[in-house]
Amino acid sequence: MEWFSQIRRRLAVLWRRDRFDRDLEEEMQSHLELQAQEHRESGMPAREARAAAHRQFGNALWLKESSRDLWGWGPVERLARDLRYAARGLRQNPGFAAVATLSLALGIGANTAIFTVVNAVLLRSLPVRSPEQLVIVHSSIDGPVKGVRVQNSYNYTDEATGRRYFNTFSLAAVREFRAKASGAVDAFAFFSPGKVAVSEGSGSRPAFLTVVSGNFFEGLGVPMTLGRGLMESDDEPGSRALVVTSSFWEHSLNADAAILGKMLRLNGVPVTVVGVTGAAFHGISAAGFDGPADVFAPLHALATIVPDEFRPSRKPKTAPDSWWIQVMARRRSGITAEAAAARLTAVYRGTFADSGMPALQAAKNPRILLDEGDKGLSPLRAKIERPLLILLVVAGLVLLLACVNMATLQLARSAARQREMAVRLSLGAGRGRVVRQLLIESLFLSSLGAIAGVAMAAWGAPLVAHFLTAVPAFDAVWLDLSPDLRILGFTLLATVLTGVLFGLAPAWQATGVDIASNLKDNARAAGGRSHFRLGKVLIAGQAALSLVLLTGSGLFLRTLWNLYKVDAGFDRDRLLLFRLDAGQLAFKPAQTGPIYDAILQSISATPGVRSAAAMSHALIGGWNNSTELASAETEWQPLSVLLNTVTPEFFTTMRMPLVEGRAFSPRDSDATRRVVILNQSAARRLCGDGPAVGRIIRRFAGGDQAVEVEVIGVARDAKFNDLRRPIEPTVFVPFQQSYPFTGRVIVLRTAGDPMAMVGPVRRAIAGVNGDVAMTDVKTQTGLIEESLHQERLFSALLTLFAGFSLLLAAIGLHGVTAYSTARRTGEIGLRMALGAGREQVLALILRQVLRPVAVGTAIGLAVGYAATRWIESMLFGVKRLDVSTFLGAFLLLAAVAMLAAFLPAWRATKVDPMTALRAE
Amino acid sequence: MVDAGKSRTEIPPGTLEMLILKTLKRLGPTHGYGIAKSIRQASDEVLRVEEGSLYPALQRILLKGWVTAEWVAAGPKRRNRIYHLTPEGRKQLSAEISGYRRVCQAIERVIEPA
Repeated sequence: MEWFSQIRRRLAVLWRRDRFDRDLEEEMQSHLELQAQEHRESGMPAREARAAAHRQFGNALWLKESSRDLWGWGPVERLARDLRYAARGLRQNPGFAAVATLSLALGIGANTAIFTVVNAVLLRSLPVRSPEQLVIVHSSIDGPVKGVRVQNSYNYTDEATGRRYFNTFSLAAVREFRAKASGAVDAFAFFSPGKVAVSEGSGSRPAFLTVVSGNFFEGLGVPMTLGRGLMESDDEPGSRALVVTSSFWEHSLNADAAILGKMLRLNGVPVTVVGVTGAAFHGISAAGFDGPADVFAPLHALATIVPDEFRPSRKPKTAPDSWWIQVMARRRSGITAEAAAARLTAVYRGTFADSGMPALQAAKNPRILLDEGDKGLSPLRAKIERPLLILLVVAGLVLLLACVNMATLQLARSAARQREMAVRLSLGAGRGRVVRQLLIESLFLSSLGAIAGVAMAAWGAPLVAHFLTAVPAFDAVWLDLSPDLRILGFTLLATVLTGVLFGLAPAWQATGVDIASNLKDNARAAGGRSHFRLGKVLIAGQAALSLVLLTGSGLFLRTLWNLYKVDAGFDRDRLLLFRLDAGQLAFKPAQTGPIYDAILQSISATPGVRSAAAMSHALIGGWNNSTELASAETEWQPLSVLLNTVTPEFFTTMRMPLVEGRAFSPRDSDATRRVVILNQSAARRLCGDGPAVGRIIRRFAGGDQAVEVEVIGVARDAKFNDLRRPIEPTVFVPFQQSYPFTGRVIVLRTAGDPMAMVGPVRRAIAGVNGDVAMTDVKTQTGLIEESLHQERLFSALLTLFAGFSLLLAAIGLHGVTAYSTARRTGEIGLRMALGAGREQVLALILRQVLRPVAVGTAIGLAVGYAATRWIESMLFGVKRLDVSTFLGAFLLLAAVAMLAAFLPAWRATKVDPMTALRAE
Repeated sequence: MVDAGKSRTEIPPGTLEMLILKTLKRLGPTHGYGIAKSIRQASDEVLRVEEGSLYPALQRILLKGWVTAEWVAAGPKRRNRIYHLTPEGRKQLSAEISGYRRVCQAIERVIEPA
């Protein structure tokens, strides 16, 4: 508190600074007079008295200064003075200020934009209570478990150990976790059936539904804006409670103030809204199977809202080998993750033993694994973590480049200010003081750059996020790109580091001047050599950075080019794709089947449409289904293959030729024998080298039973998920012999521009059934472009940065050459007067100036050699040490450097020797 | 009377503030010159406060809030800056005096003839 009153008093003085000074002066004046009076009274003559008093008073100026220091806000006032000085300096040099601010804005802006995305994807926690206590529950089993059916699963197999990892559990397991492991964790369960149709009166909107256990909201600690979360009492059969997210409430329900207690219909089923979540909550996953969420209902409501969810497998969801629920848990206080995992593993093993199913009881070493849950689930994270970090490093390089360039420019500026420095140093300013003032200038510049950069980042971050995540595999992605303390801290750190980095070395250089020789007229002699050395180091640095960026740019451009050229296995032009959204009808497949067929017929008959078909998964769409086939060649062991369910016109529409046999026909129906078409890779694996048509193989459609199917055709190999993955064995199955899917993608081959057909097709659909709508309309080429978003982003950014770095390097090199030749005009004149030819002098200058470029290039090549290891997984069709790319980058840099240095060097050699010598 | 023969004794650092406070307590509110004169007289001309140390000391105790200052008119065109002791200053004074006495006694004990 003491210091607080002190600060208050100091503030009072700061306010009335002038009056304070005058008061002090007046006080001392009056003291002087009283002293003089005393001397006069004791007998001294008046003038002597006054002189004696003055002598006694000492250095009045020093007194005033020390008083000021005591009260003063010395550092603050000095800072303000330095800032004013810096601003004035910039006003006098608008060109420099513009270049500096722009290049710093680009560097700091790029870093902030990318860090914002990094923060949203990798660093931000869920907006719930104590997220650090949350864990995500997975399991692992050493070996396959027969007959298990998984849904919404990211399960995978570790080829090396044979261990299988699962992220879903059975209903029984979840019940046991909650009953028997409650001392260690509070486990809550959830499942996302996907989109449902929400309606208030007429018309419906899609909403993403997640069903949750009764303790989900309480266990997670979800923030609520209105009403309450779901409770245990809601998780009963016949329950009608519903919770909506804040964004769904705002966007689709018009932020209805009377939302609590309001009745809505989900797929026709009446529900009542009991709560609205907090604004920042979007469920537990930013993308993928489980997010972003719109509405939450209790687990029991699944049976009424989405009754046919599990029909295709004919395995009830209560079965112990039906693993469809995901689990997250909150560790109880004092319980470590290891202890929790051990307890859960014991309970889990118990469920296998008690299941009464021999396949489960034989499962080898089932274990529970716990992952940190503070950031929620995100398959997105795994997919884009590496590209994101690479981008951050690249942005850091660009900022470094901007710093190096700024340092070069500052160096040139300080060379011009040598005189000013000498004067200040000779007047008694300490070197530290002057360096501090120069640093303030640099920090001022970097702050200006940061302000412009942050504005750029506000625009750039959503753009980067969009291109990184808008791959077709993720239907909807929600990222919280709002600024927070972490981003602010990052930007501040970047600004300060930048300012110090490019300001310190030139400042140190500038103040290390030889005062005496500088104050004389011959300003050339002083400080030049060490200036030049620093300049050379900076040029080398710029060359190295430019080479690294150029190489990266080249590699990505070639990757993109290679991807564009990939033969997809079908004809991708003039194909229109879209989904049919049957609204509330979608969940009654018996009705939708005939409607879809009628729609397809109507579309096929539309003029301008060459052919039309339907499929379960669009090609190059990022998703696939899979199934298992077996044949004699596989010793009747199941082979996992990709699965696409299609209508008969599929192969002609996609122009995917059949190398053997025939396509499906309307005769292949539910009543006749099951038929399949294999692609060439599948045919090779399952049927060997001989003909595949007519062979009978087995398909494991779920459960232990295998169905016999006949191969009626072999299609040419084609890409399925994306362009990068090599062709995998694929099987095609007709719609008529599958359970009617709710999800169906229609594809048409058009005569002309696909997008021009959207209107006529929409009308054709409406003519059959007015409730069905077209959604997700795209062209096949557009879909392929989307799948290449990441590669396009990288190519664009790296090329932009590489161009920027070349430009800066050229400017820097030009400046340094001009400076160095200006310094040596006399020497050049002398050489030429002594008979050296113009070309010889030119060669001399160029050799000296380009040497640091050569050194920088060598460093850049070495760095590139090491660093390309990290981007290897992102390249396609080009090796990471591709010689032609490195060579191309090197040649481009060399050409630009030669050009930049040549012009000033040439100008220098045109000098008249006599003029040069006279100026000496 | 100014006696140039007597040598100047340095006032130990830190005690000047104590002396100023004590003077203000004894004399009541005074101006800077009056404080210096009083110290000189009270110490029989032994302690002569340099103006160069008086005013910084006054500024210090002003900053710490032990005294306050105000301008008081002292004639048609003159005014003096008068310093007042504050309650905190009073408290500080007794603390300083007892501290000083304790140190003195300790020094006495050390230099006592063995």
